[in-house]
Amino acid sequence: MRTTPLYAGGLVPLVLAALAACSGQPQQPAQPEEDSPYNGSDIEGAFTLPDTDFTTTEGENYNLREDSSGTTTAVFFGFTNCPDICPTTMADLGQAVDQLDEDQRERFGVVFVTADPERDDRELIDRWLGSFDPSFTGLRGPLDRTDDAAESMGISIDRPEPEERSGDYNVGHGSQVLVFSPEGESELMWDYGTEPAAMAEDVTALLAEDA
Amino acid sequence: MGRGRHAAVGTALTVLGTLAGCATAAPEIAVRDATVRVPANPDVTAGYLTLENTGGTDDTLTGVTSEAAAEVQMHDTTDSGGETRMRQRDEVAVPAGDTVVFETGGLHLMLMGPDDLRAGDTVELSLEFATSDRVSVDAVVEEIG
Repeated sequence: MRTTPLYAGGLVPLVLAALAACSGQPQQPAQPEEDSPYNGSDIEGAFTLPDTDFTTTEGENYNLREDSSGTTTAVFFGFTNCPDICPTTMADLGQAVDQLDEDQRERFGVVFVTADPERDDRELIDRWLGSFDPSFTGLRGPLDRTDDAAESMGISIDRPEPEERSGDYNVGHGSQVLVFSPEGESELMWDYGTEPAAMAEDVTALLAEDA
Repeated sequence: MGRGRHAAVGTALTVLGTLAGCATAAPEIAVRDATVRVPANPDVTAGYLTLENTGGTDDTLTGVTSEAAAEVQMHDTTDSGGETRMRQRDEVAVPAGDTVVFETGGLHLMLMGPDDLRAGDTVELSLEFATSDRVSVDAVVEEIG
């Protein structure tokens, strides 16, 4: 319950920056239809997983499109220095996975892509993800490639200018989780705050369709 | 601000006065449900709590400190066109009669350089206000989720 409006100085340019960052992205998917069988927003076919190479926490090459092929995949961009949204989202995803049976778990994967590769090295991502679910895939890539991949999925990333990226800083990022089909086509979007049980229900429904 | 107005307080309660500042006049700040997350990234973790001002005068939270972290910042999560970002807050208003909740997805504390905290530990958070005396609260360290 927030009772106080944000009025700190500098907010206006910040908001403008955020708007600017969003203006180039595809239109927001429609609100979930009332008869949608899913808890998340239906974004079927709106995005395709990009053919982008990242590096896993084990140091292996991971092509976002090819290496997730055959598996229903949830993708989230975040950073480990983010204390609230990112760990909450990963913890929710971990709890959702816990609610799946073994067969479902084999057919569903979670991919975390760091939006902050300058600070998030492989070891840090590995340790961070391990506290939620060791089965999650953690990816890291160059800044430009990361931003392009995010943009192609309608996810904005907004980090401070290079000269301001020292010490503690925040990276603005889309907080939605996108779920892709085994063929790499978008299926669903979970907004921040989607309950783990709701995610598990959606995964169960998606996997049942593909069975 | 009505700072000179003193509430009549029983002798037993004055013992608690140094902690809660309840011997002073309004505002009257209560802090509850304080939690800190087990750090997933060793450099940072989040804290949450609920502030209630049961007094008759507005107050402002101006800072939080803790022995268990190098620095504690106050942040607000804002959502603009689907992009989430955090904005550091130097102060958070706690109006008279209002409850301010620090919770996931909204206002939260950011503990920088936290100790190696384990679930079940307690972390003392010290809250500084513009008007009220400092309030200390024991936050329970919890697993995320």
